[in-house]
Amino acid sequence: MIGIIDYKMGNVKSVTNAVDILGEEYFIVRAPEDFQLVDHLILPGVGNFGKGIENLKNENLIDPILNYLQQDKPFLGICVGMQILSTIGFEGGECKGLNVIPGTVQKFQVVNNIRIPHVGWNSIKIENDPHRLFDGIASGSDFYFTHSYHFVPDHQEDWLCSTEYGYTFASAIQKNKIIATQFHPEKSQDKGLRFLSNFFRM
Amino acid sequence: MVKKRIIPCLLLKNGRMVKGKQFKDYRDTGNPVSAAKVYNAQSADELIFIDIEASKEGRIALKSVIEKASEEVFMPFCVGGGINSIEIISELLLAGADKVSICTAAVENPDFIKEAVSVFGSQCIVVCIDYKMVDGVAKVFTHCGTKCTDWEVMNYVEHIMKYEPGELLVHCIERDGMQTGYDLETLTAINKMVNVPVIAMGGVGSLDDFKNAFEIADVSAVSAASIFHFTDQSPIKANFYLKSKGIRLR
Repeated sequence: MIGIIDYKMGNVKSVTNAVDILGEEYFIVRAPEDFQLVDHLILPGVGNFGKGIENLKNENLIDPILNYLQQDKPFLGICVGMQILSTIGFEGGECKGLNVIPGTVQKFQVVNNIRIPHVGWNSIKIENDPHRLFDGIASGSDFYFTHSYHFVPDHQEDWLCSTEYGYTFASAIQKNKIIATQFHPEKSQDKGLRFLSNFFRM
Repeated sequence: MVKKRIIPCLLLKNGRMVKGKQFKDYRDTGNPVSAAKVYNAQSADELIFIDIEASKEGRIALKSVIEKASEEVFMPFCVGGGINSIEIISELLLAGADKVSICTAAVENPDFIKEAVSVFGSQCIVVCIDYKMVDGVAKVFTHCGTKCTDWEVMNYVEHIMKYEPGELLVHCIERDGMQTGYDLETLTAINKMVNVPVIAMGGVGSLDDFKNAFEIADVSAVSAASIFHFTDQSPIKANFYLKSKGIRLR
C-alpha cells in the first residue's frame, strides 16, 4: 500500500489525484501507527524547510519515517519533502534536517542573470541513464519546478538527475531506495505520471 | 535552462468561463474544467484561473472548479480573485492550486504579501498588477479594474517588490480582449527592474505578440485568453510557431 504523509505542508491532494489516476491504492499517513501497512512512502511538501521539520516534529512523524527508511523500503520525497532529508537547511534561519542524505539546502546564487524563484519547466539530465525510475522518460525531458532553495548533496554518487539554472544543481537524488526530487512529478503531466508509476514498481 | 511558458487564462463567473473586453462586456465561453482538459492536451505550461466576482459565492464555485480540474489535469494552477487572507490561500491550495495571484489586497495591505510569503514561500505568491493610462500616466487599478489607486505603475512595482512576491502578473486593462498586442514598453521596463519572473497579460491577437513579449520584453511567461477562446490558435500552435522562431519552449 502507498502511504502519503500529510503534515500540513501544502497540497497532498495533487499527489493523491495522481496516484488515483494511475489506479493505485493509497492512504493518508498522519500518525505513527499508520506506517505499518506502507510499502511505498511519499513525503510531498511545498513551502518552508524549517516549518516542514517543525510540523513533522509536532505530529510525531520523524521517528516513524526514520524507522521506515531503515527497512530499505521505497521512499519518495518531493520538493520540501526532498530538502528535509538533508543535514542542514538555511531557509528561515539555520535548521537541522533528518540527515538521511548528507548535504545542505541553500538558496540559489544569483549568477548568469537568473531570476529567483526558479519557476517553470526545465530539463533533467539522468546521471546514470538508463535508470528504472526513468523507464520511458528520456534524459533531457522537462519537469515542473517551483523553488528558491536547492539541495547540495555532499557526495557526488547521490546525484540522480542534474538540471541547469544559472549553474548545475541536483534536481533529484537517490540513496538505495530513498528517492527525492526537487521537481514536482505530480504536476509534470504525462512524464511526471510515468515517473510516479515507475516508482510504484520499485 | 528553464523554458519560457505559455499560460492560458480562464476567467470565471459563477463557475462558468467568461471573457470580456477591457474588463467589461463579459460573455460566456464555456465550462472551465473541459477547457482545462483541452489546454492540458494542447501542452499548455500552466493555467491561471481568476474569479472575477471575487465574492464568497464566487470563491466556492472557483474552489469546486479547481478541485475537479486537479483530478484530471496534472499541471500547475495559479488561482486568483479576492484573496485577502491566509485561510483563503490554504483553502485554495488544498483544492489543488499551486500558487495564488493577489491584486487588490496587495495594494491595500502589502504586509499581507510578506505574511503569505513567510507561510507558503515566495514561489506560491504572485502579485497581479492591473493598470491603465490615466491622463498620460500608467496607474494601478484594484477591484477588477474598477478602482483607480494613487500608484503610478513603476513606483508600485518598486514598492511591492520589498514584500518579496515570487512572480509578477502584469495586466494592461485597456488592451484586455482587444487583441492589439501586449504593452511592450511597460513590460520591458518592469522586467528590467525586478529579478523575479514576469508574466505578461492583456492584448494578444497574434502569435507574433507572444514572440515580441519574449524577444523584446524578455518576460518569463505569456498569458492570454481571447486568442485561445475566439480564434483557431491553441497553445500547441503557439508552441510550434515560437519554437520555429528560436524561443526556448518545452
